[in-house]
Amino acid sequence: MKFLRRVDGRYEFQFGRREQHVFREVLRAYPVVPLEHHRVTRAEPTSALADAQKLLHDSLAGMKAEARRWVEVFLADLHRFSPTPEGARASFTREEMEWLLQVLNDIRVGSWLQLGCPDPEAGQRPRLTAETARYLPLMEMAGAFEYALLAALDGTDGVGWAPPPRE
Amino acid sequence: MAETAVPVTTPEIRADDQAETRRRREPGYLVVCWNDPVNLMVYVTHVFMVVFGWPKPKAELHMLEVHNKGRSVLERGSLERAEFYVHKLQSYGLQATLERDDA
Repeated sequence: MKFLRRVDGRYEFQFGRREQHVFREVLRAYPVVPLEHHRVTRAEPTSALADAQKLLHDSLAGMKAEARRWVEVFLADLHRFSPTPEGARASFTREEMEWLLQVLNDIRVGSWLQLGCPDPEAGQRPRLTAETARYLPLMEMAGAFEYALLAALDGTDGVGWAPPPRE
Repeated sequence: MAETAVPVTTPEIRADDQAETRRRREPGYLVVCWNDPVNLMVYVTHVFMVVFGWPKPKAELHMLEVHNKGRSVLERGSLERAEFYVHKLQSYGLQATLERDDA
């Protein structure tokens, strides 16, 4: 996924042949972070904070339902990607870029949770089982697509980025 | 006692300053963002810019504080205000919570 240009407020990207398929498959996984993961505070619960916790869950449940509908519409749009000799091109509005970032980051964070919240800097490795193995590529690919979107928003092309090396 | 006419000078207070002062007086909650090994640093900076409308240098400063110190206080204010920002930050997948400001 390579940022090409910004035209009339739309960010245009070139996708490789298999990249477009991978992009769609990654998005299809949304949502991955369970609602119970979201905590409003790390302090001892009080009645005011119990209400705040419920409010947070209600708010995020609504947001995730809306994002899920947005993803379904996005994936159902057959004209979203235009074929090119190298693969396909697609362009996104600024608002669509924000939706994509939120969705992809949920997939990345949710996959990390499924893998046991490993911290590579602390020498922890992902918890890989038959059930969780699919989350490792999902986490890495979501991060790579996020990075391409952020580089486009930042005015750089993101060339030179590669996933961090693993032990 | 006779009043003496003296020129009255009132300090010029901008609306932004008044709002900031009022915010500081409100019962305190902090919006805290916590470090985690999964969110990309550039993503965290981007979210701070979008949610708070901060310029990039300020957003990067807070992002680095999260990364290096484990947490950064992003906002102080009422419970309602803190909730608003926690909802926004968590909708982007950041580990943000509200905590009582005991300071």
